[in-house]
Amino acid sequence: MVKIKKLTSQTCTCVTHGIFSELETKAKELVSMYKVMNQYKKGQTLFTEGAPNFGLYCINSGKIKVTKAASEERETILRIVGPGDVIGHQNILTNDKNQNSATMIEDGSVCFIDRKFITELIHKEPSITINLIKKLSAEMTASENRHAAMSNKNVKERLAELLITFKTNYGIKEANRVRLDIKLTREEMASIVGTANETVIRFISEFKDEGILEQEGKTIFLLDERKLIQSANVSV
Amino acid sequence: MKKPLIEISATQLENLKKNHEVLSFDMDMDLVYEKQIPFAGLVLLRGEIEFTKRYKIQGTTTSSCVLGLNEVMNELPVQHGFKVKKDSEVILLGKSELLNTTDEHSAIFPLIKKFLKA
Repeated sequence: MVKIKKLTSQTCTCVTHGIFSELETKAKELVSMYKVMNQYKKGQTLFTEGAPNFGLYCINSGKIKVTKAASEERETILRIVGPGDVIGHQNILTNDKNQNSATMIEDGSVCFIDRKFITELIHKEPSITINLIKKLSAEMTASENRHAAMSNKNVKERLAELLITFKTNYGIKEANRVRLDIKLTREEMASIVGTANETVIRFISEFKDEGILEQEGKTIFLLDERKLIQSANVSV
Repeated sequence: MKKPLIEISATQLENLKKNHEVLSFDMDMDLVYEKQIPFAGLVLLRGEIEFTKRYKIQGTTTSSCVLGLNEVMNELPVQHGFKVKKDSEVILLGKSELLNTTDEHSAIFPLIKKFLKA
């Protein structure tokens, strides 16, 4: 039998939260042992659309944009994911090539778990299967809502809705305002909303004039959430 | 530059091909970034992979070699980034498979044995 240097088991967000959180301690230790954790810098790619899928990525810290190429020069941002989330799961059982790409939008750490191990674990641990189904279901609902918003809402309403989502997921309360702890370029925001950069810039400026938000550098601060909800034409 | 690889024989390559899926990677794809732990041992069957350090090319390797085996098994960061220079065919040996290989008849056992001797 081959003797291998004993590995240290690390506990991170991907084991304590997310799809592995309901596993028994022994199974969690296995996940910790077989995962590979790395630090990534902003702009580094985790996986690329069209490349073979080899496993699952669990985000420990940092934020990642999941994109699909719209043309050779343009990309559509499908979603932004953060700590506790998993990506690369869509093709884990089908063995298809990656249907999208994942790129760090800020520095962070990500764990990788290879497909062979994860498929074996799925067969042994029903909680992972159920959590994956829940995750896929939530993503499908979000995708359907976004598709409907593209047809039924104007750009300003969609942008306001995006800012509400950012407030819910990344909002940090500060005195009389909420800091959105996510830094996206105007181009990236335009890609999510489905419009041109100039339009995003114009509506951000309008929101500032209406006293809904203010900016310091690239950071956006929400000042009046009620007005933003009215602009989004949603009931929250 | 000391290349971070283990060279393997044609017989070993054939054995690996029989038991593993061959994956294709396009030119310019980053397989492993510098100072990261590889997510798998990479067996290069066809194509070319370049080693980079601080975004500068330090060398390249063509077929019949394994990259990153020591690093993935011992959770060590690679000193060079691995980037696909020409469209390549690769077999990936995942960490779970490498750590679970105790069967002396398996296709990757000789590689692990070779790595342990190195």
